[in-house]
Amino acid sequence: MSTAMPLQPDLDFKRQILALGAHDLTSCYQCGTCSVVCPISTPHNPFPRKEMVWVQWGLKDLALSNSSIWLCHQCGTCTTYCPRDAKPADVMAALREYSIGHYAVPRFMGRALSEPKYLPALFAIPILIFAAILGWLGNLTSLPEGPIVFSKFMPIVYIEVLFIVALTLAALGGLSGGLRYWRAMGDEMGGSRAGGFVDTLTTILKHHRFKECQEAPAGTRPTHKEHLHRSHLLVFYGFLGLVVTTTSVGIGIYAFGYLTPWPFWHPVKILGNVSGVAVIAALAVLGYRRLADKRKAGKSTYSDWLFLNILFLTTVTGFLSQLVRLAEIRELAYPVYFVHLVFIFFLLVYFPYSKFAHLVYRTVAMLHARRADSGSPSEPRVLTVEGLQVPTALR
Amino acid sequence: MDPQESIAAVHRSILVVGGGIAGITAAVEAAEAGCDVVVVEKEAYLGGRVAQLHQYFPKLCPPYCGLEINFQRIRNNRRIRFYTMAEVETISGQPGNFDVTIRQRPRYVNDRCTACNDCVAVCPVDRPNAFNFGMDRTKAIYLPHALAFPMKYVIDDSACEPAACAKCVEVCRYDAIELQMAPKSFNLRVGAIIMATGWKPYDAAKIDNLGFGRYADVITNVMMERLAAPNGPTKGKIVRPSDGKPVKSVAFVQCAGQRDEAHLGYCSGICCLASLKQATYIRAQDPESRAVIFYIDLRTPGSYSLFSHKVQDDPHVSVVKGKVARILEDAATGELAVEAEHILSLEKIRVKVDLVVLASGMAASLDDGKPGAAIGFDKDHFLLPEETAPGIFAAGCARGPVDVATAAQDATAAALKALGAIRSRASS
Repeated sequence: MSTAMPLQPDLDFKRQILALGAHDLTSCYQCGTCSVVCPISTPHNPFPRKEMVWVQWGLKDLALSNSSIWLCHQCGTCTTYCPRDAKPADVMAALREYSIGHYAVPRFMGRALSEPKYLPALFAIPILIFAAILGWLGNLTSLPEGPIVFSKFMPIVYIEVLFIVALTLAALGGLSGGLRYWRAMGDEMGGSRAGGFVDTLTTILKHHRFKECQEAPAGTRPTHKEHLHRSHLLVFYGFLGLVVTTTSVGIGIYAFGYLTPWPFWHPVKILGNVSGVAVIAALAVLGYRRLADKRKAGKSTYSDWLFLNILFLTTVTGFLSQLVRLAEIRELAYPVYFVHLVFIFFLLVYFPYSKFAHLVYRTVAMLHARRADSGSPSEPRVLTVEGLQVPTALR
Repeated sequence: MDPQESIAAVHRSILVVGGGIAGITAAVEAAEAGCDVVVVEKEAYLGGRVAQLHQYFPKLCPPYCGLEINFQRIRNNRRIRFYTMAEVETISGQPGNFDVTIRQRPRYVNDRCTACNDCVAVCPVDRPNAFNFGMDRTKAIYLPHALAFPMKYVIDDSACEPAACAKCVEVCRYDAIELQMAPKSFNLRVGAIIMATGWKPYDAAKIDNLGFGRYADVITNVMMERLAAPNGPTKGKIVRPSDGKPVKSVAFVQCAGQRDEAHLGYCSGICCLASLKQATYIRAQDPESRAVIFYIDLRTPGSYSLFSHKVQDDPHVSVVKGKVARILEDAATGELAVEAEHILSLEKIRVKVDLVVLASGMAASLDDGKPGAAIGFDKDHFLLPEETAPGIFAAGCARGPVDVATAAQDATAAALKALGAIRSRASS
């Protein structure tokens, strides 16, 4: 690892990390307990002890260009065992949040998603776009007659075109952010070998890391994050189910002319509803635990709650749309559907700048670590006292 | 002066609570200055924690030497009276006139005991030896330790079964054993009080990630003192508790349960020196042996740093910056490995050792609220002079964790304060 000399402390960076819920960072005395009790930090990239001193000293480049910040899955073991109550898990969370803004392309979108004052503007964009389409179609002033069919209100082709354009832009943003982080890691941590894609993907799909977080405790203290593996698994596959549902519906419409709404017994419809329930259930647990274990499990910030709420409201409005459609309440069905579309836009189009961006950055970090670590052991070297290399400077 | 305070009867004697190094130092100093002194000690012997040490740092000399001198001074000074197995129940009154209730547990052995050991030979039951932290056992009737003062046996009534057995009484040629001895309470009237209640080792089993109590070869630093002491459970041979094999390598875990919000929030200030000292115990026993000390900050204040340099000059003693936060046992071989981040080389490592010594710290002795409102404590149960009634003075580790030399100096200062308190009352 290259270390720039002389050190150039960025104290503003430190202040911002402290403000992101990591106030207790300053009591860290660098004992390294956190790195040892961490169930997933590796022998050659132990964290979060070094990250604590990097932030304390305002070493922004080092702190933001290590894979560690995204390898951490926030199990909270470090915070549970920290002798100084410095809450390293909160610092790692703050670094992740900061890094999303730091690597954001364009930069202002990162700011927009991290400060409450921009929230109205962020909602205004999809509202205006959808309202413009509806106004142009004449559906803004008078709702379509007859049985409730959402495509009469907002033709699917408009949605498809709008989302394909917007999501392409979002994907480009996400890709640029991920690439910037990848390059930064390369500069600070050294290059990496090829491959590792399949391994990384398997690790993510099986939630291996979340599992290790729960299964390799250093002692017996509760971390208050024991639910994390199961809850994240549920929200992950729930969301994946919703993506598959939407894609299948798209294919159904365009390839087979199978128009919506589809009947309840249809496997895709069942998948959609089950997935939606899974997402809501998981989010309920995640939200509840954040509130119930506030002190022990660490603080949550604006960005954290924003993402949780947007995902929750997206799913809930989806269910509501279906309910009011079946209940044939025309005056309610179309407005609710409108709100649902706005939330979907918020969730998906702003994803590289919200907490949702973790799907890019964590994947990138895991891939980088996978390549850097291949060949180096996952367990610490076992030395004899004789084999301990003591730096001569200490003698 | 407040007329209430200037009552006629002013007691000129001093009560010293605790017969450890601070207590006996204060007692001897005050008595040799001409004052009557009563020492109350809860154990069956004087000397306290110091009696359990193998050697002092930095001179590496045996504490018994200094204790013997102090015991001699006590024995030769008619102004000092002491009660063992006794504790203070309540304190009332004011400077010059304290009324103190003492409760003394029965020893079941009187002053006629000659320490002939005949009773031990016939005693049928045994008990874990608290003096050696349970690493060996004694009979229910036992001598607290080889050089105990007073040199009298004692019966552990939680182990002895007097109704079924009186073999010791039968065999004792001096009528020294009284199984019917009962607890007794009595009051003392004194002019000033010195609290020298000392410390106790922090319960290392509470440090759940360091395996004490789970792994036999993880011991505490006070246990190491007993292992190294010639009158200890192994006659001074440092061996592994699990299999009795000689120890070739030791890891010292500094700040085990100290400077830790979940355990003792403070630094005991002596454990770094104790570990450095104990490294010399290992090195003295086997020229091939090795010791490694894992630390956060190696704290050896003042001239103690010379001792630190001296120990570290030994190439078989190494120090590693990084706290041990996990101890693993090889399921097949039972070998221990300590895990730490080697902070200076940024690598997480495990080091295989025969024995792990936890440098667990010094907790205050008085943590049950006794002896009442006259004494003020800080949040760690150490005495707070500003919240303690006038005429009561703290000495040594009752006030905070300190080394032996500081405790003795502090005790002398407390004796001077107590003498002053009495003199000022008597002359007015």
